[in-house]
Amino acid sequence: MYILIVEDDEPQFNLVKSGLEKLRSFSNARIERIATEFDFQKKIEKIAIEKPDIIIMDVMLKWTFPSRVMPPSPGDMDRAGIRCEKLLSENEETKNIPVILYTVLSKDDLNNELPKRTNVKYLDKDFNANTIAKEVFSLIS
Amino acid sequence: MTNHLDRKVSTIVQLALDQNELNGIVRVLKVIADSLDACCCILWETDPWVDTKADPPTGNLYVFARWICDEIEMPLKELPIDSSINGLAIVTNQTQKTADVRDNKDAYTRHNWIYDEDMTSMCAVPIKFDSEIINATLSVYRRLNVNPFTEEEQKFIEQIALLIPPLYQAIRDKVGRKLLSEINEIIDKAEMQIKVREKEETSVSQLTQPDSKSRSENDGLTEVTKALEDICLKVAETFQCVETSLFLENKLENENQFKLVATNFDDWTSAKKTYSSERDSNHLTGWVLKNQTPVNIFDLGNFEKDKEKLQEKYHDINWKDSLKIKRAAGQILNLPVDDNPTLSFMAVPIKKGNELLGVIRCCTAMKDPWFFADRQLDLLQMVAVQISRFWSWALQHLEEKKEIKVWETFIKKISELNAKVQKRIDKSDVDEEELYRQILELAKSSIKNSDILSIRLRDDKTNQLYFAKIHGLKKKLSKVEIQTRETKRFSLEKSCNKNVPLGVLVFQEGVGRSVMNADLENYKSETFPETKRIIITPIGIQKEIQGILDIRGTSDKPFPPHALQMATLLGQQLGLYLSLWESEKQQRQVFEDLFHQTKSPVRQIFARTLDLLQSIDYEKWDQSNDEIIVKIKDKTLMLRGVARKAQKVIFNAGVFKELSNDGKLKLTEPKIKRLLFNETIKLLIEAFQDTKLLLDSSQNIKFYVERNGLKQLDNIHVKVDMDFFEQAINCLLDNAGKYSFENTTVRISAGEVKKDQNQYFSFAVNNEGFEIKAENINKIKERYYRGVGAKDSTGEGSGIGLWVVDHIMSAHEGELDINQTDSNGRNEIRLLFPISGR
Repeated sequence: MYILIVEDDEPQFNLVKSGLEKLRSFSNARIERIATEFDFQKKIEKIAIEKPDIIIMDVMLKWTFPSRVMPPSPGDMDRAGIRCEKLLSENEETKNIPVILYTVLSKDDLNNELPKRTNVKYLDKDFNANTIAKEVFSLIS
Repeated sequence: MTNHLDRKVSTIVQLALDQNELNGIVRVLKVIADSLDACCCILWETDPWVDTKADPPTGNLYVFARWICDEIEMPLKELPIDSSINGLAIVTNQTQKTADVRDNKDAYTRHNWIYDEDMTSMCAVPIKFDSEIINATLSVYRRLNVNPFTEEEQKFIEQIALLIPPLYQAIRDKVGRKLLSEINEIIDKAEMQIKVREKEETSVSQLTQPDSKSRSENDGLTEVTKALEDICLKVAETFQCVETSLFLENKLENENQFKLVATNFDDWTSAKKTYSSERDSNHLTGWVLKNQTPVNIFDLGNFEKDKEKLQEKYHDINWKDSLKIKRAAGQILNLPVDDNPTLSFMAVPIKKGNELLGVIRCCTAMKDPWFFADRQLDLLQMVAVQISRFWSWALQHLEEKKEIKVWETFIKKISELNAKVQKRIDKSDVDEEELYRQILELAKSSIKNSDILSIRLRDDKTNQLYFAKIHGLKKKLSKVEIQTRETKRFSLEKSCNKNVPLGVLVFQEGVGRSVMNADLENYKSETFPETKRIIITPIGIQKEIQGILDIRGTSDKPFPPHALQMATLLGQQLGLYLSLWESEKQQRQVFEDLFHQTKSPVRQIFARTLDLLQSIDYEKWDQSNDEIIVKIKDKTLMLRGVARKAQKVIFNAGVFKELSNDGKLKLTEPKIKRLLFNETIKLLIEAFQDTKLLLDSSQNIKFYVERNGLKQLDNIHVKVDMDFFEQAINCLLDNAGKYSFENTTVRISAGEVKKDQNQYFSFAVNNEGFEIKAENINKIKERYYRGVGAKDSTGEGSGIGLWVVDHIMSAHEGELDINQTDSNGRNEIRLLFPISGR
């Protein structure tokens, strides 16, 4: 079982990870993290090869960590996760990977931007690790 | 007829057709005289009052045109019809020829001047000169030493006499066409000059600031006045008169005042330069204006003698003999003192349809003919038509320009007011009374003839309209009266009462319903009985009506055409200001409410977390539970870190609120403490521990506190508001952590420093991260400023952190000192606190 979590807030990642690990089904799962949108873009090919069983995607992501040469950003960081999901759906190898959009933004905030494919689910970020874990379980099973 | 006389006829005809001025007829007379070896050739015409049927005939003949050879002087201008050979020719309608005028002594002997000049023979042929009846003669004179006129010569003269009227008509027509054509050219040129000048002015004002100073001082009439002066010159030249003057009304300045706009005459002895059609009808020019009838008076010098006949022709016309005018005319014409000049006068009203624009007059012919003929009056009327068109165009053009200028000024003032109001709203510093005063003053200055202006707003509690501001109440009203008006209220309750005040009606009918008194019949105001005209417009936009703007005129002068539009715009503008102000107040209120609601819970979380950490005695726990203890400690520390961050955000929100309201921070006296080493080091370490906890471990950012400098705190006095101090430190550490490059160290140091001759205690945070350029140092402290890459690399923040820290330091009379990135790529930001003692 390979679960990929795209989350720029490390404590939040740890919270989700610990919630998942508590469930017996995921106790031995390989749980990895991508922290920024730029990083996600760089690793899309690796994702296509390794094909995680599920991706938990934060929507509001930082573009990249501070560096001496900053790559040009695509703009609105509040929709980074939506752009990442689009990359997945446009790739033959990754379009079938289920995705949970895990975000503090409400459905109304996202409006017409919610992806249309059936294996993408929206989940309100209530900071309760059990909620996300249960959702992952139900999607995968 | 001999051949040479035949040839002379064609010569004469050709010569006449070549003439370009009325005086050209004299050249024709010269050729006639030369052809007949005559010394004098005169065209005599009857005056308007001649009666050839009377017995004896009455009236005079006057010289219409003459050619006299140089040796002869002829002082005579007129002859009585009843005792002259010329008169006889007219009365009998027969050529009168005589070999020697002295032979006719008994009957027609008023030819003394002929005797004196040794002229003996003459031939006078009667002609119809621009008339249905015989009213003129062509007379030719020979000197003593020349034979009398032969039969053949008489026939020649008779033939020529028949040609004179049509030839003169041809000259007159040509001169008339030339005059009208020249006037058209003058007018076209003036219009072109105005258009070119205005185009240049527009280009200049587009390149520079739209400031009235960049435009010329030309009020638009300079070119018009010059053109009219040129027209007067041309007319005077054509009609050969001393004076041609134009009096015109400029409704944009004064109504029913016809001012001297142009003239060819420099010397005004009478000095009447303005006429009123109502008050000045006892003046000739005034009479023409009042009766709008052209006038042609033969000789004002005979006014009293001819009064009855003149008043029969021109009802009630009158003229006061003014010696001054006679003398002035005599001087100009270079006449002997006792020689009264002929004061011929003609004036034509200038009209556009039924509207009177002014009058053009010509006065005092300078040479033969000394009188203006009716045919010249006709030509002057054509000139009047041209002037009418030109002047109407000029006034309309001026009015349009004035209107544009009025709107430009209005828009400029609205823009200035917008900027002022925006500034006030941003600072939450709106002075309501001042705002209303400015709106009413703007309305008054833009809408001419507005005298009483008011703003009435709705009182939600009582559902009434009340006066928020009244402008323009006369001082002569008593204080009681003024107060009564200012405190009057108007119910907005729907009622069956038919006499609903207009303001209430406009308010109830909602947006778009601006009213001018043209919409009303028999409107009477109880509150302002002096109202003669009124505009009422809603204050607000779309359905949000907050009140009405009420503008009244108390004189007979009308509102300008743009009044209703301007009033409507002002009403909307005021409505917009009030709405914006209300929105700003609501936003601030919401912000304050949220702040108050979240402040307590966050503080409680932080306090309870600290309490939890402090109350756990790890040593008492069972060793076998080490892992659990460590986990609990880690998680509690994480909780403290999160709570500290939340507290920092809430604290900043509180500071933001305070700065928005008051503009500066005040230190809280009970919280001011002296910094000591132990407490301070503990605070710093906890702060950076919490900061580090919230950073991504993958970036491997380290923190290091240098202790040595901090120890100085025990030897000097540095007093701070502890909450503000902690907030400032948290902010600097948070920024340093967020913006540092991976695998670098954030260093915190402290110590005494000197800056700008002042001694401070400095807390410095030093890191390796995004570059701080010298030109951005001041910007960084500005509210909302985010550096390049800031949002991309953090995904959070509002840009108010350093702005808050800057104010915290100002409150301490210290300084937030930001330095640009050094050559090693390191940034340093310092908090400089004043040292209060040692």
